[in-house]
Amino acid sequence: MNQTSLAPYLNIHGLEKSYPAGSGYQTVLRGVSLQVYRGERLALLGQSGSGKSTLLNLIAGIDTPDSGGITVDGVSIGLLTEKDRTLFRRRHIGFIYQSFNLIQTLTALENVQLPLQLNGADRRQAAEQSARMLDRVGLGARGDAFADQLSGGEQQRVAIARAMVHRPALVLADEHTGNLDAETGASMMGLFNEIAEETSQTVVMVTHSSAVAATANRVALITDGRIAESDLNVSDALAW
Amino acid sequence: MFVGLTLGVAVVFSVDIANQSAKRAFALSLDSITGRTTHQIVGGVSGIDEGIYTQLRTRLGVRQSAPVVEGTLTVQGPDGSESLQLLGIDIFSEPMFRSQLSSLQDVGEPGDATRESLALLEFGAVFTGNSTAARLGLSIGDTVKVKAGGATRAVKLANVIDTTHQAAFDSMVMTDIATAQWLLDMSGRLSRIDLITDNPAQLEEIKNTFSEVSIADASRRNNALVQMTGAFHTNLLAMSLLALLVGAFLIYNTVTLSVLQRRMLFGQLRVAGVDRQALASAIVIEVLAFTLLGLVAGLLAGYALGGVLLNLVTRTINDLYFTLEVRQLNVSVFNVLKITVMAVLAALVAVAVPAMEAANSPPVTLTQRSALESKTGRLLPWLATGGCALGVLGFLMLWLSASLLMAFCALFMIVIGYSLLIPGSLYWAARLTGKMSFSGAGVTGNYPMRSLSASLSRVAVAVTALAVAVSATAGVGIMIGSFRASVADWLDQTLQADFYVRDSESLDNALPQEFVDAVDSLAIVTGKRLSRMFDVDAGGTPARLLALELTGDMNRGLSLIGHHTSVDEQWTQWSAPDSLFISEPLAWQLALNAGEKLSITTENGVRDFHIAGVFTDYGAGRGLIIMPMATMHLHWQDRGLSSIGVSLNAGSVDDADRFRRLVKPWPQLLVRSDGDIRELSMRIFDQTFAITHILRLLTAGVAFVGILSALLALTLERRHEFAVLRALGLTPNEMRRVLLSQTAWMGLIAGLLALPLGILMSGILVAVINRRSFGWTMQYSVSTGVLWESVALAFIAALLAAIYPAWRIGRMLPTQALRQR
Repeated sequence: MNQTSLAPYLNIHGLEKSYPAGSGYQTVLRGVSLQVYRGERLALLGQSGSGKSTLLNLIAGIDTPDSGGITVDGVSIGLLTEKDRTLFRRRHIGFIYQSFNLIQTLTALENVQLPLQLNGADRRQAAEQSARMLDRVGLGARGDAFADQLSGGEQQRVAIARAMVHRPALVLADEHTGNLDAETGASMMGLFNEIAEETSQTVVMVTHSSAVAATANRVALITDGRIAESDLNVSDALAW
Repeated sequence: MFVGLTLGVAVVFSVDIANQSAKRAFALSLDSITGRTTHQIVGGVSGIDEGIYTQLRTRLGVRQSAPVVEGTLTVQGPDGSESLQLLGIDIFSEPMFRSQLSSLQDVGEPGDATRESLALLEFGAVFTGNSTAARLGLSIGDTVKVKAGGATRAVKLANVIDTTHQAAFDSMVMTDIATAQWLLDMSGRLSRIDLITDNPAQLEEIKNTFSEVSIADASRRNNALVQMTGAFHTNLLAMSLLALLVGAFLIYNTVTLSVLQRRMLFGQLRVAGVDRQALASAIVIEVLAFTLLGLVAGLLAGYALGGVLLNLVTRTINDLYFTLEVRQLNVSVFNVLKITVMAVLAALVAVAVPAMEAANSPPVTLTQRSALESKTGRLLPWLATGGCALGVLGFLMLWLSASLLMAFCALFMIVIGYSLLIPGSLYWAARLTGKMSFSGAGVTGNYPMRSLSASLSRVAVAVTALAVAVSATAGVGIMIGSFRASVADWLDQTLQADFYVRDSESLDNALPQEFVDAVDSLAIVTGKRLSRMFDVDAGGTPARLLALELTGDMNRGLSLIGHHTSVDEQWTQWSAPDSLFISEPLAWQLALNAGEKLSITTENGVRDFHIAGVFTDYGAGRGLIIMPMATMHLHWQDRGLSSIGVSLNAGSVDDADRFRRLVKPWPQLLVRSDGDIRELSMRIFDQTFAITHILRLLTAGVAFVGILSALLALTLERRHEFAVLRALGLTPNEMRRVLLSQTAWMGLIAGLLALPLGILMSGILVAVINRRSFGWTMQYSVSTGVLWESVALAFIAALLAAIYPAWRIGRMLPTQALRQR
């Protein structure tokens, strides 16, 4: 992929973020800048507490930076109102969490339907599309099960289906295989990448796992709130 | 948890102590009036000749006897005129009957009380309670003008009685018998003679010697007075029990929520190695500690609220029955104990199930919401079955027993039975609405309804409490509406004259003969309703006798009930000698019907009268007997008139003015038009039920707090879920709308579910409870306005309760909630 000839789909520059901690503040991100191109799968590697999850939350517009800016597909997230940021996220971003974050009071099928309903999809169309997506992740028969009646692997598959069912252009994944064993994690990544490739989705995934990082086009390394390396190839990253 | 407990306890406690204080003051009042008296010698309308007392002591040697003259007088105080009870006594025979003279304020040495009481012997001297004197701005030695028996006279306040332990003297004036006779225009007459005797032979001798008087058992007379207000207190008790039920629901709801929302923590503790017993004990101890804190705060708040309610209770008793002054709340250990047991019991019942469940479930299921909700779901058929069984049992009790107490028990079984059906109805309604909401889905589709039906363990009790509270509002509202309509119809039928004239002090006082003659000579009068009213002893029960004579075009103005014979036939029978009509409450009290006999003590001795019919009467006092004036004259010497009702020529304004001018020369007479009486009666009616409105509002307030606490607990518990929804793209306003739509739905369902119970409750109140309490048959009418109001109340209460939680949700930071996970 010739990155220099294209405008980045996701452009992050000079991002700073601190949180109150005790009597002072703890700085989590210190001037993070990063570019991700359309259709690219970027793995963000780093130690616990290095600011990876915070960076994903800022990209999704769930949180706001203290300074710096984020542009997604030319739209500056920081200039949007709270409501517009939410609507932007609803339409263009899918988010997968390490702890799945399924709605406990809804069934697997209803969880997957939510993003489609939020985007105004027709009832029948939403149900059919969600059922197809659940089939796709191998849970066609478990649509009526409530979240806490599913195993960890099943819950993560529902989370993937929910994040991708409305075909968002940008998918953010936060340690999405972190709670799974190696075999389930690998199968999950295969499924995840397959769907992302099919729809040319741009993916930013936070991980500790070299196996997950190995499935990315590019790896960035975040250390102590700074991007230490943004253009490692997989074998370089593994050396770190 | 603390607020919920405090409010639940406060409402129940305040109603209980207000009721208790009024009852205690009433009992004290009775005790002060009758003291150790066992029997009373009573006469007819004008009392008894004082010569009987002299003969009683000298001829029959009955030493333990005391003459009494009693009546009402009016005093002008700084806050307007005040009615006080006048008790005229003989200080030499009093000490063995009543002990109040020992409470004189200036008493120093033993024996001083008797000395001080001699001050009463001075003509025109009176004693009153120290609080009454302070209220009227009077000091010992002051002269004050009092109005009694149609005249205004000056009396001197000779001493005051310490009312600290004798609350009844708050509204009483005591004087020597001679002064009382002078004030009440009862020269040579006594109201009664009190006796202390347990000798039947002596009583028989008195009866045989004085045939013109009757001897009443003092305890029976007191019981009749207690019964008069008993029904009112019973209805108040019903409302307080309802408040208790809703309060118990609130405490149950609060405690359950506080335990349920920490199931995850309990699971983690179990995983960490805390054993079952230790966990269950910790939960129970924590809940009990909070319950005790809430109890103390609730008792304090309830005491403050009780003062407000007490004013309303005494006002109703004053409007309906007699002057009763209660200025102090009476709190007994029993009151506190009762509420403590209720609160602790409700808390223990509430904590038992979740604590046992938390202790006995495998740790892994404690962390699963669906496990709890599945359990709750499985309980629903059992709850519904239990509810139906309780309801059927309640109806059986209503059908099989005629007792008022059983009627209350049955009512509460039906209410509790119905409330057990509410969680199931809520679940199915949520599921049904959830399916329907897909077609008109907002951005969140069926999430609000699904999330509600999946949170049944959290919301069911709150919705049930709201539904029961609203049903009480609807039930009592329909009952009051039906009652009001019945009273309005009854007044329309009863008030047939254009004007009524009576003595302003008492109906016992006869109208001046000159006035009666003046009315006779007035050409504009087309019809008259002449009446004489006094107390009699009927079948061993005090009752009010109304002798009636209708002339000219005056209508009869009575609504006869029972259809064994035609109305005309009943009136024909009534006109025959020794026949009468009795009021429905008296018929109920004495278990008598038309066609049977009623014994009345007349001046000619005890006589049996034929009951020609039973008439509707919503008057609150004693039972009423109506007989023709001619029949009364056969058995009593009295020829006076208590009131005259007149019909005028087509009711013209000029004629009305002429009639009012005719009455003017007699300032002691009170003239009222039928419209005035109707308006006054309806005003008293509305005042009577003012306390019921307050109690309804309080009950609704308790339910409101129940919903609020349930919502707050839910939002706290669901912070993570809401954060996920925000991360998925729900805007803050959409989040608020989700919560508001859930709450509005809960309010609507609670309102709708309350209606059948409210209608059922009103039916039982009208047809059973009021019938058994007062003997009243009322027309039953369900106003759609009351039903709409009830649904609106539930809906608005729920929506108001949602405002704060919704505001909090909108301001929630999703990252924080997600990170906490």
